[in-house]
Amino acid sequence: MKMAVIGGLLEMNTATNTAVLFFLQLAVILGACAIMRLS
Amino acid sequence: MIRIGQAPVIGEMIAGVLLGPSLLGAVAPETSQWLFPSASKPTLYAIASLGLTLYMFIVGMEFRTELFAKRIFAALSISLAGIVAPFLLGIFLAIWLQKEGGFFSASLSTPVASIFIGAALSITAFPMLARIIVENGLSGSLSGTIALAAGSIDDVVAWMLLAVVLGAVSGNPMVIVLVFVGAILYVAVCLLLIKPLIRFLRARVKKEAEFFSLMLLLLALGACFTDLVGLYSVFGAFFLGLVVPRDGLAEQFTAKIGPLTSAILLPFFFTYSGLNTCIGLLNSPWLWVVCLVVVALAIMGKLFACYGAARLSGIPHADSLTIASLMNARGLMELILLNIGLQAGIITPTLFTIMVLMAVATTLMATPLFRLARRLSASNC
Repeated sequence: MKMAVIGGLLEMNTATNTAVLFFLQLAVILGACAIMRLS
Repeated sequence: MIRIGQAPVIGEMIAGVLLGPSLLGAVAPETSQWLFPSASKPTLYAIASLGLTLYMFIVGMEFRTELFAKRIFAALSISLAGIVAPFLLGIFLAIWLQKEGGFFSASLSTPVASIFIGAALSITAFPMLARIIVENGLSGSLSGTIALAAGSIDDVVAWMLLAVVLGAVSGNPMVIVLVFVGAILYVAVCLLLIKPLIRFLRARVKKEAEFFSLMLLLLALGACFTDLVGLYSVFGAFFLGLVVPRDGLAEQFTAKIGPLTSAILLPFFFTYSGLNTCIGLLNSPWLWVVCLVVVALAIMGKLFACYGAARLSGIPHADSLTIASLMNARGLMELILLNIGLQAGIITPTLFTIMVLMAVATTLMATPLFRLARRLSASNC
């Protein structure tokens, strides 16, 4: 039971990290494109 | 980019290259690896594909078939010149590059390499061409009509050639057969079933949001089928866009999905493409000479050939230059084709980088040349 909870939390953490990385990529890509478009 | 008279797409193409190993990866390799780890590439590719599919759907919807029919002969002769000349130059280039080595997969035959290079040189930045024409109010003009029609023919032929290359690379003639049979089947289904179905759904489904989701479902199915037969989802989306009724529906869809696609999804494609582009691979003066030769041949094959064909068709000098300057830009379409070639293992990352630089150079030329042609046209008037 304890292991399952820890496993679940780890999985959630991985998913959160993936989402964080994705939004960071989105911000960097959109930022770079905006700078190049407007410069 | 807008300030210096360039199309925004150029800024995005360069931004993609800068985010890849050419700048970010070279200056801060650890940050680059952390920000764009190899494991995230499939996600980037999936989002990039969605962006391309929606974008090509919009391009298909913006295509004006009535203009195409009006100037068919002039358009055919210009598009033929825009295919034959790059093709002949492509044969020369492929033979030369294969002799030098390091540009193609070792097992690739010369004819297949020639067809790929021919297709890559003959492609036109059709969506960009359409945008420049519309933004400058040339949609109904002689040069605008012919450039749109010729550009679309060239792109269709280039994609068919790519299908042949992919079939040949797979080593299975059935793959080529599958591509062509799949293409014919898809076109027939779109014209005979999907087109009436869209009209039927439009009459029956009252809620706009529901109708919109059904259209996106059709798009997803079309993209899936064309990918499955090896024709690529960009074709499926483009052709589905062509059969959308032009009675306000196409404009409605474009207004809905256009801004989101251009602002969020397409930059992912530019980045994905940029991650595969490494200018550092051109690490010798010789490779830069090869790059210059590729750019020069690309310009000769398209700009000069299309200008010559337009003049021979009796089109005035300024209009011929307008058409040729628009046909010469490779833009996003070239990047799509190159990424497919790289993924299929046809070209090496070095040739990929050289061809990306060629696409950037020819796209950079488009607006200044176009403006020069318009000034010439105005002074003649």
